[in-house]
Amino acid sequence: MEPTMGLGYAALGAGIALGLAGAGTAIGLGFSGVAGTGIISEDPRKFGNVLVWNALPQTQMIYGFLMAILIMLGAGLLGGTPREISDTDGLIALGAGIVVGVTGLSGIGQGSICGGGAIASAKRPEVFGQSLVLAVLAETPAIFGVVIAVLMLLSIGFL
Amino acid sequence: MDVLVFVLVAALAAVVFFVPLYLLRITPIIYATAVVKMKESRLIDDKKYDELVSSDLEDFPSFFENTDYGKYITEPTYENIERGLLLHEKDLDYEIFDLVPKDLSGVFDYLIKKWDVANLRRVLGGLHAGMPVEEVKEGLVEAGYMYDSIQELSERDMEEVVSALEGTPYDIRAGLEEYKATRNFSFIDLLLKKRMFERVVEEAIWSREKKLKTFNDYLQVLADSLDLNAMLRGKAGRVGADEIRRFLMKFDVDREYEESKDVDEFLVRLKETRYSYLVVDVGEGLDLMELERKIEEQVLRKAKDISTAEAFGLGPVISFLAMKEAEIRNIRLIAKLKEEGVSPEKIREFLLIL
Repeated sequence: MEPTMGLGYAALGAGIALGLAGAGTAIGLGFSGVAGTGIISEDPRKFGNVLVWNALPQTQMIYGFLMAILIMLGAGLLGGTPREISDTDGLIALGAGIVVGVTGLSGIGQGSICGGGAIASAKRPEVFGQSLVLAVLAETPAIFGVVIAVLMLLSIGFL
Repeated sequence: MDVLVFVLVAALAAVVFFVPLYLLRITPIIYATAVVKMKESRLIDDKKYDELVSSDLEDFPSFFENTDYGKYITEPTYENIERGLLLHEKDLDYEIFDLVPKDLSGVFDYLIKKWDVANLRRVLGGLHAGMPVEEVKEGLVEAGYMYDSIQELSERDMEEVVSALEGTPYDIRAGLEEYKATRNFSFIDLLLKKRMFERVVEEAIWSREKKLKTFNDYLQVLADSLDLNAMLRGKAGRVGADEIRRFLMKFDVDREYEESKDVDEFLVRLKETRYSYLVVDVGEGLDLMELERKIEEQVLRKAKDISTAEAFGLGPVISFLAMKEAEIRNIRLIAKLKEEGVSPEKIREFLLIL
């Protein structure tokens, strides 16, 4: 089968889904990771606490990774035989990748909240729960993004 | 379609390149914030103060054993505690100086310079009190930029020290004139503080860093409190407006100063000026020490406000430094008053706690 533009768009969507969401996670981890190292430098016993705050911004990248796999599976890019995909379907798959990628940038904001949460809960352990709730709220755009992307992929028979 | 692909790639590139640039700029301040917040969590709280105030001087080393003061306070004597606090403060100042972003180190240099001033005060104060040279030298803290030259100065007399400081940032000839006339060491003390502070303000103004907005706000509070303390001391000592002017950074309440017949009246009139925020809690009939404590309390409150207004930034650093300074002052005071046999209830009244 000759590769089509539709297939190219779908592949681009997979790349964007993981690329942008991964960038969001990496940048977000920059905030929480630096705050974490500052905390550990003063009290290494706080490592467990710091680890939780650094795990949270990772989820955006997991969503991106998951979406990239789903798009590639749907497009037949995994398993050897690429499907013949129309331009319209390809663009819808690209849209699914974009929505997960862009909403995955919420990892930046979440990382920032996690940095603050790590500092706040290291100073006052009793605010761990409240700070965690605030950090989890920043996950909402990414979750909605994944839902919409899955619906888009369902609409073109990728899933 | 090619345009769409181009736009997507460009957007991706923008995120990947520009956001990390921003991150690189703020990373040092996030790290500094985390470190000082952890240090802040170890500050002595109200309950611990109660314990400390009720304990004997003999219990101090064990009280501080597992704290940041542990390696500095090792003997149950006021001298050891005072020296330990000085060394702890010095180490902390150097640590914070290393911690703040390098582009701000010119301004935070005051944490190092303050030890030159402290050592100069020690030398000049020793000369004023007639202390033996060896005792003065032992009391110096090996810190600051002028430690070696200040050590040499400790062997000279007051006039020689002051003339040796000519041409340095610590030119205090005006203070010496007043000192000779009154034998009041406050004049030298005030001028030394003023000289150091002038340089910090100058550095902060020249540095156009946006990050310094918080620091500049706090500097203004500190400058006001320093001037206010000097004016109150001046008023109490019946020093004229023209004389006190030399010891102040800004003297924009000269009319109030001149026209008030005593400290109480001056305080009432200050409540109508820009100093009102510092004297808001001050009632009539307080002695100078109580007044200074009330003013320090307001400064500390301002520092705390700055910290809550800025989660990541210089706010938490400034706030921590102010709180730590208050804590060190409190421990020193508790140790001193314990040594003098003052009751815990009375000691509690002198502490600076918010």
